[in-house]
Amino acid sequence: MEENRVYSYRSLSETLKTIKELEDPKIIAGGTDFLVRHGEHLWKFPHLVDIGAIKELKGISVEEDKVVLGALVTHQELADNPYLREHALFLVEAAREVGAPQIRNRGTLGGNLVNASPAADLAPPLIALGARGVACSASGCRSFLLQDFFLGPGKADLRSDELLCSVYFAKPKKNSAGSYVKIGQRRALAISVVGLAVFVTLDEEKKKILDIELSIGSVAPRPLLLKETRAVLLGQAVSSLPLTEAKRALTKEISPIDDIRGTREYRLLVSQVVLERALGTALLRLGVQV
Amino acid sequence: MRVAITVNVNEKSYTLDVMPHDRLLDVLRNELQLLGTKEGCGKGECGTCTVLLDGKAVNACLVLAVQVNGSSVMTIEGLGGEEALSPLQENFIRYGAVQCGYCIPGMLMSAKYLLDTNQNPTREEVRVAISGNLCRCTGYTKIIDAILATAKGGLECG
Repeated sequence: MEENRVYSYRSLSETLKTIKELEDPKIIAGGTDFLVRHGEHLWKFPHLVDIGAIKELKGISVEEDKVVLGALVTHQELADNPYLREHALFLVEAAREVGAPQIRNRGTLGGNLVNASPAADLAPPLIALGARGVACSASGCRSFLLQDFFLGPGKADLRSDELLCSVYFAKPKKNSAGSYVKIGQRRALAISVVGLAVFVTLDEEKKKILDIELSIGSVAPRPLLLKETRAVLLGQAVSSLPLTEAKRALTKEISPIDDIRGTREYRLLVSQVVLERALGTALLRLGVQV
Repeated sequence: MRVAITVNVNEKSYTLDVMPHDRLLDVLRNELQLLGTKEGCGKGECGTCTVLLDGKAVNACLVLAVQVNGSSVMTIEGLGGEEALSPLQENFIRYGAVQCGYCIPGMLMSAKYLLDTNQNPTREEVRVAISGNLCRCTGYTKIIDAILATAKGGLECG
């Protein structure tokens, strides 16, 4: 009988070589999803690859034009990061919504995205930031728009010999702010029923919406980048935002279902509330009361 | 295939042979007989298995033993000692925070993690700090009171 083995390397290239050579390697990082799913039958996996020590995947780095988040960054590390708290507070808000402190200290950005739940809390704010992901294999790396990474519930666009290595986004401009609003059945340890991120950029006078990106989770098979809703709000004066029209556009763009956490009807209703709430908070952060 | 790990638990170093699928929780309870850390759900939702791993509160049921090689772990047995309880433990008793006691080791470890990282928490911050720990008996109020009192008491954390 073949014996079970765990592989753990500090080097990315060593790890990528290993997962290319192994038959059916199972990747574990923080383990907060993997062990819930597989904890009772780990003995079935002959090859476990613990990627938690890979140094290239760690850390948050603020570069001249972009912010790079290593795939092993934990939710707590995101929440604690001073640059993100100052310039991308809504990403921090999303990280704080995940699980509970014990989960946040272990669960990773990479795991949240690769598990590809449509409810993944980190997806909407990152998509709204226009983030790109980087995946690497022993043959090389590729980058992609984050919203294209999600193929369906539980299915990410990642080959079995690849690892998601990092996510990066352009540094938020002046006069921009975001908000992430999550609806859940509890205020902690809750999978989101609806999770919406808004990222707004205003003009110099703070009178018009110069740019806006909206992304929503748990209302479709994948986290969505909202295009029609964006079109309604783009260029509008903040003093007279067409909220009714925006809400109508939103309900047309999303396709929620009934599931154990809520009904389609509830999600259609509460998404509209959350849109207004998130917009209000983002604008308030820019000093604008609507 | 057994893997050798070296781990510091409650300030003592151990070298153990573990199976790839052993959880930290299993090793603490079965190898080291540290029974204060409990298994309530086995899936990171109840917090009765909360320990500090390299100073951070984690669910021991969701950490593989092989992942703690070279790390340090503190369990409830490492809080306070045989001679004297820690200020947190004293206040849990003083404020009536303990009923059946099952959630308490986890609550205390989450409280210690809070006070180690935030010496002056608000009531809301305490609630967030224990949001990963379920209690079926107390309704949480006195647990929160005890933690706040410990913070305000200015006593050394834990």
